[in-house]
Amino acid sequence: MYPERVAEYKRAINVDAAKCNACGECIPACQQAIAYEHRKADPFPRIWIQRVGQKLQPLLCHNCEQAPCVSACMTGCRHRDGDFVTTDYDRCVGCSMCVMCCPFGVIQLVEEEKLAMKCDGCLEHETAPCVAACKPGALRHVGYLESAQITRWDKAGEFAFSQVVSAGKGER
Amino acid sequence: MRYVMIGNSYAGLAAAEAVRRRDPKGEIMVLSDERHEAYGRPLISYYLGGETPPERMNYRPAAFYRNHRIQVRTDSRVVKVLPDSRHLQLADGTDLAYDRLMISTGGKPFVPPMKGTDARGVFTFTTWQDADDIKEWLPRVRDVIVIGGGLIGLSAADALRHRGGVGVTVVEMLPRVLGLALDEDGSNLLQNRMVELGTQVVTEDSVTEIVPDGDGVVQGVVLKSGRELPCQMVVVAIGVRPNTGFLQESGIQINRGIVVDERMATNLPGVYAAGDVAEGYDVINADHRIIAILPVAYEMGLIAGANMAGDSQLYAGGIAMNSMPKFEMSVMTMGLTLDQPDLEAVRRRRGDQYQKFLFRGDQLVGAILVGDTTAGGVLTALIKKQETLTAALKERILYGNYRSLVAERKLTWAKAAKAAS
Repeated sequence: MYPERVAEYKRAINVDAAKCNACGECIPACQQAIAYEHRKADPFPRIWIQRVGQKLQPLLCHNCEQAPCVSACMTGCRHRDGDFVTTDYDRCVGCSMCVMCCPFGVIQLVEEEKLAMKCDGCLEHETAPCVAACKPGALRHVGYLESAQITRWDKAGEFAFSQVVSAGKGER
Repeated sequence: MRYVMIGNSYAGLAAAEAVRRRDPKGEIMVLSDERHEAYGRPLISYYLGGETPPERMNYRPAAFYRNHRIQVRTDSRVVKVLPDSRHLQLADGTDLAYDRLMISTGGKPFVPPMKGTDARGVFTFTTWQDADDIKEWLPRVRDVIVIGGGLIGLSAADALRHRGGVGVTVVEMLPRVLGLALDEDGSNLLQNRMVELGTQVVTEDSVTEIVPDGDGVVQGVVLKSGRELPCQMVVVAIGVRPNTGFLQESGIQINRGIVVDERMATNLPGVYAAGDVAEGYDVINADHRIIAILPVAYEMGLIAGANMAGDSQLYAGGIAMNSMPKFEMSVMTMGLTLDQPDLEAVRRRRGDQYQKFLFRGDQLVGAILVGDTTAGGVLTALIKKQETLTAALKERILYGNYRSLVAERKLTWAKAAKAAS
C-alpha cells in the first residue's frame, strides 16, 4: 500500500555519499521548502553535510522500515506513510524521545518551536527540492522498488533492532 | 482465534498492530480500565500544563481501530485470569474467553503507607483522569507539594509551573532530583534551573504525614526533618509498581514484574506480557528487569504480538534511557549514568551544557546529555549495539563529533549482522 502521491511519483531519496562535494546547495533548498512548518524560529534545515576527515556524509532521514522514532513517539505524531516516515507537527510536543532513539542522528529538536523535526520527504513536491538542487548527484530519486532494495541494507533494524525488523511497521 | 490485550497503551496497541499484520481474520479485543481511548500517556503533563488540548491527546486517529478491526472495551477492569479454561473475569462480572492473552497493564502508582493519604486534595499523576482531577481541584490551591523528584514528580511540577498560579515544592528523599538517572553535576544544573524558574526543591527529606483539616481537606505536610509545609494539594509521585494484583491466583510467575522469555511469553500457555509490567532483557546489565520506558514497551509489544499470531520473533533487549525536556532544559540519559569503579567516566561542562560519557573498556555503556541533546540517538545505538570502539572512534565521541557515526558505519554493521545470521 502506497499513498497516492508516492504511488504517483514512485520515489524515495537515496544518498550516495561518495558523490557529495559539499557544495551545500541542498541546504537552502530544504530550508525554503519546509519554511512553512516553522512558526517561531528560522527554518532549520533537515539535511546536513558532515565532514569526517576527508569524507563527506550527507545526513537525512533513512525512513527505516522498523523506525525507532515511530516506536518511541509518545504522541503518535510520527508514523509510516508508505515509503516514508512522516510527522504530524501539529501534534508533536518536542519530547525528544525520537531524537534519543534515531541511530542516524537526523532528527533535530527545534527548541523555540518545541518540535522534533526531520526530513519528511517533501511528498507534496514532484521532485524533492534538495534532490533538484544537488548537482553532483549525491542525492537521487529512486523508484520505490529500487529504493526498497537499496534501503534494505540501510535499515536501522539491521543492527540496532535486528530481531524486530519484521514485527511491525508502525502503520496506522 | 481470539486475541485479548489487557491494557490499551503502547505495548498493548503495538501487539494489536503486530497481530493484525499477520492474522487478518482473528478477533482482537483490547481492554482498558480507563474511560479514555488510547492517549499519549506522558502527554498528561503537557495537557495539565495547558500546552496540549484534549483533542490532540489521542495516540492513534479514530479510524485506527476501525482500520485494524480492533474492538476496544474501555472502563473494563480485569479482576481474574483463569489460565486453565482460558477465561478472564471483568469487574462488572463479564466472563471473557481468550485464545491468546497479552498482559500489558503497565504500572500502578505507589502510595506509601502514611497518615493522611486519604485526605481530599491528594493525587497521583499517571492517567488522564488524574490530570483532570488535579485541574478540577486547582482553583482552591495556592501551594502544592510534589512528593518525589523523579520523572513523574518533575513532570507534574513542570506542568503546574507552566500553568502558573500556584507555588510548587518538590520533596525528594535522595540528595538530588532525578537521582536515579542523573549524576550530581547534571542534577545540579537541572535543580538550579528549577529554582530559577520558581519551583522550590527540598532534598534529603521526605514527607512523613499529610495533615488534613476538619473537613478532610489537605492543609499541609510534615517532613521527616520536622519541618511543616502548608499546602492545599499533594501529588504523590514516588514511583510505580507493576500492576499485577489481579494475577495473584493465576499461577503466573512474577518476580518484580512478570517473568517473560525472549518471545515475551510467560509461564502460562498462550499468555504473553510486555511493557512496564514485564521484565525484559536489559542489554547493559545482562539480566532481566523492568525498563519502564515507552520505546521498550512498544518494541516488546511488537514482539509479543508477532509471537501471539504464530510468528517467531525474539526480543534483542533494551536499555534504560530517557529524554526529559522539562523546565526549559533538555536532559537525556542513556544506559548507565552513575559512576562505578569499573567504568571510565569522561565529563565535559560548559555553562549550562553538560555531557558525560561512560566507557567499560572499549565499549560505550552510558551517556548523559544536558542542554544540547542533538544526535543522542547515535549514542543510544552504540550503547545498545555494544559496539567495540577504536581509539579514533572514542575520541570522536568525546569531541562531540559523532552525529554521522552510524550513517557511515551502517553498511559494515548490516553486513556483519547478515553474516552472523
